[in-house]
Amino acid sequence: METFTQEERRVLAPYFTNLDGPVFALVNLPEVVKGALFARYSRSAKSLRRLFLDEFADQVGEAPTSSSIGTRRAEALYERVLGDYGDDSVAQLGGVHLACEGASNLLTKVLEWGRLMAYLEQSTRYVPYADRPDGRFRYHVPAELDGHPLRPRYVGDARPRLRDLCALHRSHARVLERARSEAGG
Amino acid sequence: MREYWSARVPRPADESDAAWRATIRAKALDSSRGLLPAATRSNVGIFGTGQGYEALLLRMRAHPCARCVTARS
Repeated sequence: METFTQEERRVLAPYFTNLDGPVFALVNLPEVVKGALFARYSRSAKSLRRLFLDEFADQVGEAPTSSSIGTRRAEALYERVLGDYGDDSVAQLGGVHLACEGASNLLTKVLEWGRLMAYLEQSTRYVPYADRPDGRFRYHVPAELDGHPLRPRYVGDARPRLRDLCALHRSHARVLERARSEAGG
Repeated sequence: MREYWSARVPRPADESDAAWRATIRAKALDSSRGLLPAATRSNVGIFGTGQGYEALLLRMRAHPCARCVTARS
């Protein structure tokens, strides 16, 4: 999980609902900024909070953050009409930008199944997966495999196999490297 | 591989070398992404309404994949 310095945390804190988890919402930002941040997701290897620090944070303070006028009254109304009565038509009226980072491809399919929401995902068409942050290629190891005898076979920690996850990522990296060298850089 | 791409994507005389290299890179990514396993991690941005998120939570709770059921922020 990505970590941030104290200074970075100070900059990020007003705009993200948490700084330590992979799932977080964007708050107190203009709609156009939230949209632009998500738009960068598809072609960037960076996390959303890192993208914000690198590309948007220098403008923090230039524009006022979202107003909180009427929030207390609105929350009470939502509590009653949505929380108590379950009124779906009211549930449709509030929107949230939510980031889910480090989700496996299988999980992204579940996240993106519903037709009522809009999605944007980091694209394997633009982002190479040849790096190894924290010493491992970027793939998910299911918790069910913890302590399981098949785990080494799954991740490729045992003797090299053709179809373990490390081998697949290594092949991906080799193809990219070959193309890069043959294209001259 | 170079022969393959050179035959199909030669650098146009009026295109810069950098632009051509970017084209080759995109084709390399496109060619090799099929090797990536379903466990490959990605980042997803979602914009939706309360109704959409309610449906998402119900869908995840009912899903057999343990990570869906236990995923929490």
